Amino acid sequence: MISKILQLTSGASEEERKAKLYRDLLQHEAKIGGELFGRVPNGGRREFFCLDEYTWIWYEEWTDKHKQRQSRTTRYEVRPNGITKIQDGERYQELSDSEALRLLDAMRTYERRVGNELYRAVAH
Amino acid sequence: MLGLWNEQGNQYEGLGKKYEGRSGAFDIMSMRFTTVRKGLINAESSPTILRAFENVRRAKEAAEALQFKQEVNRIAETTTLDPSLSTTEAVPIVDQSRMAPVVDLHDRQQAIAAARANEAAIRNVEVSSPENRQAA
Repeated sequence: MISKILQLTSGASEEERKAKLYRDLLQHEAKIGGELFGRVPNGGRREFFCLDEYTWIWYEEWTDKHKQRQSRTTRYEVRPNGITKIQDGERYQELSDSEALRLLDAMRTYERRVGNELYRAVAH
Repeated sequence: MLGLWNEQGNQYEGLGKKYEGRSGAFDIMSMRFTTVRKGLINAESSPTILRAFENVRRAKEAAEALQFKQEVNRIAETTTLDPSLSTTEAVPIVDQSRMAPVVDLHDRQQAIAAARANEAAIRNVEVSSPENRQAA
C-alpha cells in the first residue's frame, strides 16, 4: 500500500505533494475529531477539526425524517474578546458557559489524540 | 487516503514513520501540530472560557454554601431544649470545652464537623435554673 502511495505521489511536484499531505492530515484530524462527541447516528457524518490557530470547525451531516439529507457547519472563532459561534455562515451566537467548557474539553481531547495518533513523530 | 489507515480501515498508523525521510513531510506535520496546540492555547486563554470557569466556580461555591447552611439549619432544628424553661429563669450552660474550636467556614468538611461537635455539646447542656443554682 505504501509503495503504491509513494508511486502515486512521486510524479507530483513538491508543492502538490505538500498540499496533498496537508489536506490528508486535516482530513484525518477531522475524522479523529468526529469521534469525540459520541456515536454518530446511522447514515450520519461528523467532523471536528482545528482549521487554524483561531478557528475550529464542526461539521454534521444527517438524514431527516423526510429522508432529506441535511448538514450544518458550525464555526467557532477564537477572538480577542471571546469565542464566537457561527452556524451555516450567518448566525452569530455567544457560547453558554456549559457549551464553552464542553468545547474546550473537546479541543483538549482532540489535541491529545491527534498528538498520539498522527503526530507522535513530531510531538515533543 | 494516502494509505494512512490500516487494513481494518479505522486505525491510524504512524504517519511520521511512513513519511520519514521524505523531504518536507515532517515540517508540514510539525506545522500542523503546532497549529493545533496554538489553537488550544488560544481557546484556553479566551475570555469566554475564563469567564465560564469563573462562573462555574462561583456556582459551585454558592451551592456548597447553601448546602452548609441547610446542614446547620437541620442540626439547629433537631436540637431542642426544654421549652418549659424560660430564658430569664433558666440559662443553658454549654460545656465550652466540648464545643468545636473556631473553624474556617469556607472549609465545608471542617465546618460540618464543628457543627456536629457543637450539636453534641448542646445536647449535653446543663440548665442553670434558680433551683439548680440553689442546690449548687
